[in-house]
Amino acid sequence: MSFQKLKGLSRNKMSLFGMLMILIIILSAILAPFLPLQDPNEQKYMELFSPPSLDHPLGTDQYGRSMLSRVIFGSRYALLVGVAVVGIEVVIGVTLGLVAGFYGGIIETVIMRINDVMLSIPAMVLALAIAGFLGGGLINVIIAVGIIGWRGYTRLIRSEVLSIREETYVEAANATGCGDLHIMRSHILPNTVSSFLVYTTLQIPAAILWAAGLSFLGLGAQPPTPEWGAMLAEGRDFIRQAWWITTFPGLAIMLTVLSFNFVGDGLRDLLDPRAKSRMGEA
Amino acid sequence: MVIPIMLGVTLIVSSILYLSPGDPARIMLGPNARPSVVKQLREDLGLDKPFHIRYFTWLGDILQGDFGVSLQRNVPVTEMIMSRLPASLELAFFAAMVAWVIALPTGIISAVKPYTIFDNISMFFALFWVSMPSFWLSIVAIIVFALWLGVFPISGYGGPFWTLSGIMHLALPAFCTGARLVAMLTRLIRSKMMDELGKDYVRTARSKGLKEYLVVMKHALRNSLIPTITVFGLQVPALFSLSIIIETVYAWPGMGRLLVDGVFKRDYPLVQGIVLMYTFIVVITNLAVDLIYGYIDPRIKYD
Repeated sequence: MSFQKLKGLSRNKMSLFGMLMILIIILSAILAPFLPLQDPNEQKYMELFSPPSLDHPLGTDQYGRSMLSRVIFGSRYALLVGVAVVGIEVVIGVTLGLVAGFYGGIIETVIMRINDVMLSIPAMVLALAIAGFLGGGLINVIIAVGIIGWRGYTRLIRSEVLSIREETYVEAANATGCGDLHIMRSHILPNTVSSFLVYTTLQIPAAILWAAGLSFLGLGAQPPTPEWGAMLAEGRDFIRQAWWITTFPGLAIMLTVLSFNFVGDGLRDLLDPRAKSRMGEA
Repeated sequence: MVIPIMLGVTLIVSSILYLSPGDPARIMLGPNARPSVVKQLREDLGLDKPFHIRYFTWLGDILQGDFGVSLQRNVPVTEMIMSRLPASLELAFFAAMVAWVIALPTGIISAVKPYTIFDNISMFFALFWVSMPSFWLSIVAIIVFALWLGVFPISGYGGPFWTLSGIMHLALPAFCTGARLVAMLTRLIRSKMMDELGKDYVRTARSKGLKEYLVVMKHALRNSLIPTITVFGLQVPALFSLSIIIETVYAWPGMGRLLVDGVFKRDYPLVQGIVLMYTFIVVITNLAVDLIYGYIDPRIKYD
């Protein structure tokens, strides 16, 4: 992406807001241990359930832990999950999509039929089954969400490859005797970058939502990990006396997801205007 | 397409369970059971057999409507699923209804009067709902509407939806499940309607003096509904995904909670049965969506 395009993106107010928010989230994830915060797991028994105040801007939870600190440390898990999950999805999804689109024939049929089958199982149902039987925990949740998420990449990359494959430069490369791998890597893959970028920006927040949902159900990060979904689940028992325990982690998830979606929308309008109708299915 | 997809799903489901670590027999008997007893149970359950034998035995049973027996409760899985199925369908159906009832008028008005205050507000909310984690939305809804305002009950099932208590209990979970769909459909209806309203046939209809509401409702809307219904069909699995979380938050007696429970207790037959049931519902719904196309668009014919 050129500098020109980046400038175009920042002219879109919502994308600009999204980019600033993502920057803040990344910075707080990196700087969390250096900020003047209470340890996210330090329990203060004199300050259980204190509502938001100057001492505790976001209040404290049932163990007197600072919500501000927990929410900020939570950004680390959210980003980790987002990046790790999308990494898994890309490795599986892009490879399969590339192979399916390039070779066609029986290989394509098999890959796309598996894809159809995967698309018919509600994602949460499958993710629950996989994460549950692997034994829960954050790592297994990342694997589970990654396994359900590659489907979109395969469809996207395959459809891109199908049209790129017909281009003259691919034909030329083929005629000069380039190998399949070389053609895929040097001629086809680089041309899928813009739709890949758009889809990935929209896929990161989706991954964060899925993983937080699984943690919320008790499968992902285990207490006392300051992971947003797990914090929400813990706070659920106290919504009568302390609304802030559930409100702030939820707000954090929403802002993160919203920011990525804003940037993704802006990127799509900029790089890939045709994609608007295609994205409906993600 | 129904049968190959269902077969594929059975294969995926049983491979996941086969490959996953942990021994159901050991879990059923607890950590203190003698190894000989565990071994005996494994043989009784057929867990010592190789994968293909287990798979085909299981498949054969399913074709006869037998999903096996729950490891945890020793009750037939079919019975457990059937007792939870109506509540799940009720929730999903009303969630979809909520989505259409809100999205259709909002999308149409936004398209007819674009860039007005109404349009801007509804588009802002549409973006907002899409990013809202459903589990958080449901907690906030409980805090506001059940605890502070006291309009709706906090959670639980209030009986069938045609009773007052039933519909009151259904309102919050149905809305929370449908909220994302509201957002997606509203945005889609708006953009498709705006496309259609700019087309030639709409100008022709207007120029021959057709009333504006007929132009909008009969001409433009009908053509915008086809892509919208396509997206709706693709979103049905997501609807059920969300309903699992919502069922847990609202203590809704549906399959979703049964699934979460089964996953935690490693109740393999139960989980297999529920995954199949969900997929079956999705596949059937997609079939129904295909049939609706033919009704809305006479150009589509099925042989």
